[in-house]
This record gives sequence, structure tokens and C-alpha cells, in this order.
Amino acid sequence: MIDITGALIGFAIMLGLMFIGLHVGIAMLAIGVLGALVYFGPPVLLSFGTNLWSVMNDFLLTTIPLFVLLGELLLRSGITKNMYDSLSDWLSRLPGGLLHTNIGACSLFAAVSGSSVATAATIGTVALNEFKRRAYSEPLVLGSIAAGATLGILIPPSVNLIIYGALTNTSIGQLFAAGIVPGILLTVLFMAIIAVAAILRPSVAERVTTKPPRAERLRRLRHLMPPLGIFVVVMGAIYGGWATPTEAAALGVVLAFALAGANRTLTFAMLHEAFIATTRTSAMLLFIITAAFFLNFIVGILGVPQAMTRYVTDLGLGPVEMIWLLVLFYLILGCFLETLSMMVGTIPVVMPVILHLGIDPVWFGIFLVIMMELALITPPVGMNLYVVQGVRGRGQLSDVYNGIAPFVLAMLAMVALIILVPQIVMIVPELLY
Amino acid sequence: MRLIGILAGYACLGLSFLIVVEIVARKLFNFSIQGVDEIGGYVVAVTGTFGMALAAANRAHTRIDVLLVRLPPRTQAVLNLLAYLCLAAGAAFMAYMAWRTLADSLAFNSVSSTPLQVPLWIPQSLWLAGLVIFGLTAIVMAARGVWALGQGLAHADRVLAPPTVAEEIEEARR
Repeated sequence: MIDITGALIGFAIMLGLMFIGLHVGIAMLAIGVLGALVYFGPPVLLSFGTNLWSVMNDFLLTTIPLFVLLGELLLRSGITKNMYDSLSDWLSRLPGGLLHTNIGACSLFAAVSGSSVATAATIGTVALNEFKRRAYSEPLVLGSIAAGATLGILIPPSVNLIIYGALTNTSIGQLFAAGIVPGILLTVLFMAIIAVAAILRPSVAERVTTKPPRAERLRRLRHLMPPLGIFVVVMGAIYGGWATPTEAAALGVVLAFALAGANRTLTFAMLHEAFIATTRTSAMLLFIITAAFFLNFIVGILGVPQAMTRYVTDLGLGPVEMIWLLVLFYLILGCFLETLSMMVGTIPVVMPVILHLGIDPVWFGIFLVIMMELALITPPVGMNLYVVQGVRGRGQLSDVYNGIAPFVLAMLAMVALIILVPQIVMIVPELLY
Repeated sequence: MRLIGILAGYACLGLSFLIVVEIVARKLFNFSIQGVDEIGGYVVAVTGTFGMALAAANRAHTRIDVLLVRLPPRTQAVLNLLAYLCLAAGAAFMAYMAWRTLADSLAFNSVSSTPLQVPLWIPQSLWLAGLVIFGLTAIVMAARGVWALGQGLAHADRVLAPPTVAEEIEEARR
């Protein structure tokens, strides 16, 4: 049995291995092996052997390549530009104009794509082109794209929520349901920030004076149908009770395939690029997930959960204090770690404490994902900031930093909100289950 | 390597259609094709391990480079090499466990406890093959890194360093 010092030293070594540039999955495997060897000996390692097969051959994990494939097909089906234009018909009349379209397009696209880098790159390319000849505050344009693109990992279907569910044995259906209200709320919060900025300082956004005639706008509304339709079918299938999340993902893939066919973007070249990207991304995820299951297994037999809960009991921390402590912990960690690694690497130590304190694992999943979103847009490792700057291809990175600041504040407010009013997260899953 | 990605993609697409047929058959005709979920499990296990080789070849396995990029170029080159050697070791460790699982299945003639009664050695040997290829790919990557070092540090970086943001955007736009 390990004590708290041993567990924390192990955690620190794992972070160290990650920082010297070992692959994240390898760092987790290595610390698991080390722990087992120091405290038990080689036989314990091999006892994981048969688990390896059952971990990798789990039907639940089938969901991951299917959702990734769905996103990749949609990305290449040529819907982005039309979708963006149609959204701008309706959103650009709000104070802040076209900036709202960035948030709207990101949330809609992200809902089905689930990859924030892909969302930031795709929407960024279309949006930055639109803004070229317009008088908008550039930092705010960049910030709205980088922030909007984080929504994908929160709004279901989200691959990150599936991974969290698989690792912690939490229902994927409930997690998806729990992501809906916070996802919408965060979208609205982002738009509110833009509106307030535009009212306080009208120079940040030009007023949209001309607008297309109503008939034209209504006609273009059909461009919103594909992503919205796929979202509704996938989510409807899960909550209508006639499909598991995996089956719903398969349904989405078939729909996206048909959509690309209807748009005449379906070619062998396109399909093969989508396939390669899907295989690569899913395998990258599967490797980390497998390593995490291995680490979880070792951590379990080492008695880390007991050591952690004993320690927290001795500290006398209540659930709310613990969560605030974790906010700080993840904010700091998020500055240095890639987001998925941050989630997967901390679950083995943090989860026992969460369960011990009686915190709902569904609520905690959403909390964790919002902390990951924050990590995506906080320097120095905020991936989205770099992607947006990379798509822009000129000027200073500090413009992006300036533009993202208000959105970081909005997200922190969101964290505080779900801590103070947990029902925001729990209301939909409680209604449905 | 591209072939791995393409074949795995077709497997996933095929699986999706199969699952949709299963949903429709179940809903409309009250009839179920047995074992779609089981096949799905095999598909993810086998495309997963072969895909790990593809991901290794494309430097797509996640690494944390926040500290790495701030180190002296020589140290970076050494750490890059170390990362791929460790990746090969990790793959070998997984392959060894997979081999033991397969050996058990062969010894006991294990079949899946489902209506399909698939002899487990079939998917498991493909699964193991993927892990072996994964390990070999990591070794080849490391060897290419050493070879590139002979032509200078910049060359080696293009072979083993984590992809830059520009490369990731390029990838996302393709």
C-alpha cells in the first residue's frame, strides 16, 4: 500500500516524463510500471495482460473512431462557407455584428466536429477572410474564434466526454445530456460579452447596414440544416431510446456520408484523406486511453484511492472547498499540459477524492471539460490561440492574447456558476434519467 | 502507412453502415443481426493498433512540447530520439501482454461467449500484429532520426520533433 507522499512523487515523476517530451501515453505506462515494480514486483504487471484485450475491444470505444470520422467527413463536405453566411444573415444585426457569427458558427460546427483545432482552423479560415475588408477590432475577431472553437468539447456529442465516461464508468448518455445547458449558456455568455463590448465601445465592430432581403435569408437558411440535422438525429436517437451512443455515431457517419454525396464533394481522394485523418486521430486517442486504463489499474491495486481519500479526510475539506482547490489546480496545470493529457493524467488521483466527497461524477465531468476549454485558451500552451494566429499568418500573437481575455473571464464566470448552481449541469440528465 | 489509414477507414465506414442496417432492421422488422457490437469491438481493437503505427509515423501521438522547445537544440534532438525509443519499448511491452493473451486463447481454443462464437485467436492475432508494426514503426522513426542527425539538427527536427502549429493547421485543412 502506498502513502500520499509516494502517490504524489509518482504523479510528479509522470509530469516530469511528459515535460522532457516523452509521448504522453508512454509517460503514463512508465509510471504505472515503475509503481508496480517498486511496490509489488513483475507478476502484478502481467496480471493486466488480459485486461488489455478487453479495454481495446470495448464496444463503447467504437464510438470514438465513429465520431471522429463523422467530424472529418463533415469538415470536408464543403458546408462551412454557406453555413457561415447563413448564420451572419441572422446574427449580424446584434450589436457586435459579424463577431456573433464567429461564435454561432463555431458552436454549431463544433457540436458535430468535436475537435477544437479543426474548428478553429476551419472557421478561422472562412471568418478571417470575411473580416479582411471590414472595420472590426482585430483582437476581438481573433478572440471570438479561439474562444468559440473551445465549445466543441463541451457541446455533445463530445469525444472528450466519451473518454471521461469510459475511464470513470459514467453514463455517456447522461454526460451528453449534462453538456447541453452549460454549452448553450457559455455560447450566450460569449455573445453577451461581444454585445457589451460593442455597446461600450462602438468602434470595435462596424454596424451592418445592408442586409439581404428576407426571402433570400430564408432561402439560405437551408445551409444550416446539415449540421443542425445531424446533431438532432444523433442526439434524438440517443434520448429517443432507440440507439446507444455508438449506434447514434454510426447513424451520424452515414448521414454525413450522404450529405457529402449530395454536395458533390464525395470523391475517393476526399474519402481517403478523411479515413487517414480518422485512423490517426482515433489511434492517438486509443493509445492514451489504453495507457490510462493501465495506470488506473495499477493505481487501484497500489491503494492510491485510499491514500488520497484518507488525506482529504484528514485535511477536513468539504466538497465545495475541494472543487475550488481543483479549479486552481487545473488552471495551473492547464497552462502547461495539453488538454486531453491533463484530463486523463489526473483522473486516477482526483476521481477517488471526488467520489469520496459525494460529488456527482456527471457534474464533475462537465466541470473538467470546462477546465479543459479554459486550458485551450490560456497562454502559454493554449492551443487554440496558436491555431488562430497560425491561420491569420501575420501580426503579433499578443493581439490574440488581448482578444481572448474577456472570453477567459466569461469562462471563469461559467465555472463559478456551475459550482454555485450545480442544477445548471444536472437538470437535463435528471429530467431524462 | 497511408494504406493502413485507408483500409481502417473503410472498416469504420462499413461498420457504420452495418450498425445502421441493424438499427433499421431492429426498429422496423423486429429482427436483429447478431453480434454487430462484437464486430465493432474487433474493428476498433485492430484498426486501433495498426493506426497507432500510422500515428507514430506521422508524429501524431501526443507529446508535451512546452519545455522541450525551450531547450538547447542538441538536448532537444537527444530527447526526441529518447521519446521514440521509449515509444518502441512501450509498444513492445503492450505486444508482450497481447502475445500472452493470444497464447492463452490458442491454448484453450477460446471462442467468444456470444452467438457468433468467433475463435478469439483470429481478431487477437491481427491485434497483436498491429502492436508489433507499431513498435517497428517507432524503431524505424528513431533510426530515421539518427540518419537525419548526420545531415544536421534541422533535418532531424523535421523527422522527430513534435509537429509545429503550422503543420497541424496544414493537416486540419487538408
